[in-house]
Amino acid sequence: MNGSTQSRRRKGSGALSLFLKNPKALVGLIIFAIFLIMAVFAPLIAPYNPQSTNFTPMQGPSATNWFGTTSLGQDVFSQFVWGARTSMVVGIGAGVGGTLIAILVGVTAGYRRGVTDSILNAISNIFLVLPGLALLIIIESYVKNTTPYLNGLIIALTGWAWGARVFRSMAMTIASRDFIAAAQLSGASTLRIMFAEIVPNMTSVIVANLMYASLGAILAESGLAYLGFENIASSSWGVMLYWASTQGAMMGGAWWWFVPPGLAIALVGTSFALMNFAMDEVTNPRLRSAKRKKAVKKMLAELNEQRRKEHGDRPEQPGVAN
Amino acid sequence: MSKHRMVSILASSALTAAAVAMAGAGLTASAATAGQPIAIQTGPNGNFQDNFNPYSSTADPGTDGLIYETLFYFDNISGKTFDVLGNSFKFSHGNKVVTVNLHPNVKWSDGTPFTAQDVVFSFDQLKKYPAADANGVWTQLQSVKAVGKNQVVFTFKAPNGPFAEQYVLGGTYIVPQHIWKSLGDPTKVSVTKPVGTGPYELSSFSPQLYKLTANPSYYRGVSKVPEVDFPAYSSNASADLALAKGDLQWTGIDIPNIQQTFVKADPAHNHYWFPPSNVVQLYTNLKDPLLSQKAVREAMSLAIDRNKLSAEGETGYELPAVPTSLVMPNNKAWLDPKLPKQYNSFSYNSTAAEKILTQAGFKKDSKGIMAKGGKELSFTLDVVAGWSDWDEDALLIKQELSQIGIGVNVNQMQFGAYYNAIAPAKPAKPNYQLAISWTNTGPTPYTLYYNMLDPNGNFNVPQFNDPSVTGWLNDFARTANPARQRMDIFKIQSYFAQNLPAIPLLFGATWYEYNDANYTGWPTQKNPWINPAPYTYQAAAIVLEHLKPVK
Amino acid sequence: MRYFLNRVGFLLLSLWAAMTLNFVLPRMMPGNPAEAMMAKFQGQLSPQALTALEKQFGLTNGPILVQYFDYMRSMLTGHWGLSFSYYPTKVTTIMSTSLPWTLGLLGIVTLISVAFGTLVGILIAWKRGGVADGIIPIVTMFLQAIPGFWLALVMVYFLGFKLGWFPMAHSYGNSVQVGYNVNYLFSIMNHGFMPAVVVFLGGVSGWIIGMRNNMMTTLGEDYVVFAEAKGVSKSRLIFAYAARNALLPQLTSLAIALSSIIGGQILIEQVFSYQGIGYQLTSAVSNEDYPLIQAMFLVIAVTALVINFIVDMLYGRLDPRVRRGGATS
Repeated sequence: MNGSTQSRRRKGSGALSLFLKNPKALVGLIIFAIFLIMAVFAPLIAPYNPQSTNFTPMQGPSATNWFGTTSLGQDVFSQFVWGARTSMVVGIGAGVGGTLIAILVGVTAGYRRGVTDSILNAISNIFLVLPGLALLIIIESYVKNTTPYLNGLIIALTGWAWGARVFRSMAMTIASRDFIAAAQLSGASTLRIMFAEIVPNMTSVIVANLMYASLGAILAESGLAYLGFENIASSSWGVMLYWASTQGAMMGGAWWWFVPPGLAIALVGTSFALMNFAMDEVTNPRLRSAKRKKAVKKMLAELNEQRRKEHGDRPEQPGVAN
Repeated sequence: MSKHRMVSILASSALTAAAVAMAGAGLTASAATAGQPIAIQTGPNGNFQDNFNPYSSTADPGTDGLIYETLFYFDNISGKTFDVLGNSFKFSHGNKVVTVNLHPNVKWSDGTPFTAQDVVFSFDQLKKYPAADANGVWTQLQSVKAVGKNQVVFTFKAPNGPFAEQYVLGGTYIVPQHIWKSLGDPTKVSVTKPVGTGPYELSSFSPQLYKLTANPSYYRGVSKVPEVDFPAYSSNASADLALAKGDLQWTGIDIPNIQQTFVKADPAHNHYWFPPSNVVQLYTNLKDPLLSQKAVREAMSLAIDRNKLSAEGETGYELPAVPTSLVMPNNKAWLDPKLPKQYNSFSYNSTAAEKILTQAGFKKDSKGIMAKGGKELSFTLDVVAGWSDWDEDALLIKQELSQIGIGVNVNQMQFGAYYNAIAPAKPAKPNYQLAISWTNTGPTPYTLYYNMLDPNGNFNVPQFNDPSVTGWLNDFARTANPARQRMDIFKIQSYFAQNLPAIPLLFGATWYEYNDANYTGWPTQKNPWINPAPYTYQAAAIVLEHLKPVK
Repeated sequence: MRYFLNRVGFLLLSLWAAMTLNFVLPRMMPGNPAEAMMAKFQGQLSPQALTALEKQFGLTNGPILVQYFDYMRSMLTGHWGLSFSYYPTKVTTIMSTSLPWTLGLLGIVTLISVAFGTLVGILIAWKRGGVADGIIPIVTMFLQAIPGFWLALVMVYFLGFKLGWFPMAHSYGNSVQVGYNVNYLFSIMNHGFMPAVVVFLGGVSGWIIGMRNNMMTTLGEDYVVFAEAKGVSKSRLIFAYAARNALLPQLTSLAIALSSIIGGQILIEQVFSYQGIGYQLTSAVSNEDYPLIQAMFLVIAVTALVINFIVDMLYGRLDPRVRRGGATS
């Protein structure tokens, strides 16, 4: 419980150790680390050039080709490793980018209210409303050579609206707390209040959004690549799936070509989710599964005091409580 | 999705076999082996829209050919001419006039007799509504007149035999005057109950499947295939599965690894044949000061390993093209027997290619790129994003040209932007450096050469213009003498091979897979009597007429 | 009332902005619809046809502002025109053949997901710390992280092609009589099963986890803790006290989920050759089919904005603080 009883801006170290003790976090972190290492050290790990066509086509896994070969005689494992780099960069990059935009828009709208809010809300509603994929295709037609990175950028630019909405309502809730009023009275600037007071108090929501946005970006990138909206010479898991499907990998029985990229995307996504679950449990003690009935009873009296200090990541609270 | 996969979709259903209640729709009672339906798929299409309007370029497959017919059909693969509504035609007045005798006793599917007036009416519609004139026949025609009930006389502004054959006689579908005269602008009509002269009639429609049944009073005899089904598929992957499962009998799709995925499912009956239909070119913009130099194009051509393109880019489905840009073997009758041997096939020699450039005064600069007078041989190459075989070809070309010091930057573009760059509607000019694209072909090599090389050609992507070539093309169009036409083609082919106004890469394939368990008589590689693709509609109708049930 | 007018004004503003964007975006695409059409033919159509197509589509180069006002007028008056890529079929016809299938499939699956996910979320929150609480969120999250089209391809191949348990394509069997009869309905369900499973797995985790977390938060609220301390029975505590309030945030998510189904699921529709709107929308965009893109975007935007509007209004009723608008204003 130390995370929540400490002053609101200093829960870092305690939370971190709690986080690391959480089994979900550990598993998630390990899976994530494996792919991260693969991504960072791709040139060292990948045994061959992912594009070179030196092997017998359509061979199953073997000692030389751990994941078999493609119909053009490329090494699937090398493509997989390089694909990890691209997909991780795109996923995390687009996740971070989208989340930053969402914070900027959401917190500004939620704190400033009024006309600013109406305008920003209108913009985010439009982005929420326009069909993402169709929008992506339209944007893609302006650019030549859509690399996965470009797709990541486009995904970030079109996919922030959902997060902005969440942050807006969070910011609104936080803005109504006493310590914000106190900061205003002490003459803190709007920017300072927004980024030094409000944003740190929504850390766990931001992290959650980041995780989901990254997963969403990886999925969106693979979907775009599968539909043929990506430079086919690039190495990403999506492009691998594109080739596997245009070359009839599944009907030709080449499961080794088709399965790894799909599974890898799912595993990375799961690792994000696991870390996020753990994060929630750490930052929001109420989500922790451990029985806390006794603690509840004991702390009944302190509750009101505590609530004000707590950094809730709860969505809007129902009005009944007050 | 390869380019062929995007073409347009139709396909079949799992349930066709069960579905067919041969409800007698005009079947000759004698057909003891009551024919099974044939399910056709021409390419991904999503939902069908209920539109069987032959004036619409997006009408559902089968509208053209199976329901509405042309006068004749000129095949681009066999070079043969087939009679359809026409029985015979004759050029006269120095090739300016064509007289067509129509097949007697033809009836529209509603029972009204078909006459020469219907033909005249169909052409007049195109004149009245230029938006409907997709082939631009009235840019060449002077008048169309009926003589009696069974003869039509076409008069042209200037003699143009190949145009008359391919587009006027072979490319214009005839509609019934008694129905269309009251419909107004024919391009704005959604025809849901088509009345045609063809071997099939529409029997049912839904957005995921429509069925055509044999026309019981067809003038060439009722088709032995009583029903043709067109099921919709949204992707090639799902059509591939349906084909392998036996839900489709006749398709025109690019199937990867076809031996494994299709033939193996039923080796006795599943067959395919991918005859060449056109020439895929590496187009060079001749308005570019560097690309207009013959040495540059020659070096590029020599440095491209077409066998590799064929094997890796096209998985062996498309073979290397030839320097004359003729479509071989389709055009073998037009090949000059005295053509120098080196023009019969391309060779691959990067050292020789580099030497040509050095001799032309190019030197590698600090970046390793050939340059002359400060101008680098560095170009962008436009291809369509998602047409994976061409995209792959482009990457291979980039690799190979870099070896002789030519820099290539591959531009994978969305189709609209790509087409706008290489062949915008006149008067806009193409704006690109290098591009991979197709050629337009017809029954003779003239179509390909004219469209690409004539300043008025409609697919003059290279922006080529040479009065001597234009002269030969004009001569071919004017003369009625086949020997002289051959001489013209001989001259053009050797000019092409020597000057490379475009760089032929591969023979573009016609996609054709079929299952012969129920019917025989399909076109095959051994007996290539007609274009076998189900999407070549008048040809598809003729193929269906020739199929016979397996005894 | 002021809140209401404010919201209506906001709705209209968003609508105008969406429609304007909708006009601008496709027209900025390079090339024109007639040129994009040539992709379908690849040399099988005379190149001359380009001119004819431009005439058919009435592609004028009139002043963009005039085009804009024409567009606004025709959009507002319901004259949505003829599709380019299926010329001369009416845009409304195309939408009416595909939209019901999308709405039916995705609508039903979404409602099932929400109901199922919410219920499971409540249950695992109730039994928090139990086995189900440990496993269900992780397993469903894993399934949600699998690319939908990948799962769909695998299912079509194994369950459809290899085993033949389910039809591989289309939204109903071709041999059944279309209409209100058992066979037709059964056929629709049979064909919709695999796509439905993919869509369900792609979304249910969010509902489970969302509801679980809302429940946990609500269970920690003072009034719930007091009720618990007072000895209110557990099931009453869960359903009458906590779940009711924990449902509120789900409502916002539901609004967004419902407004996004109208855009269809291109990837899944494509794999199952399901006659939905996602494929039509994507191909309309690729073909630069302005009339079809515009009409579809309009329907999507209006639906989404209206649903959001309704939710905003509901929220205003259910949670007075939203109307009051926080302490700072």
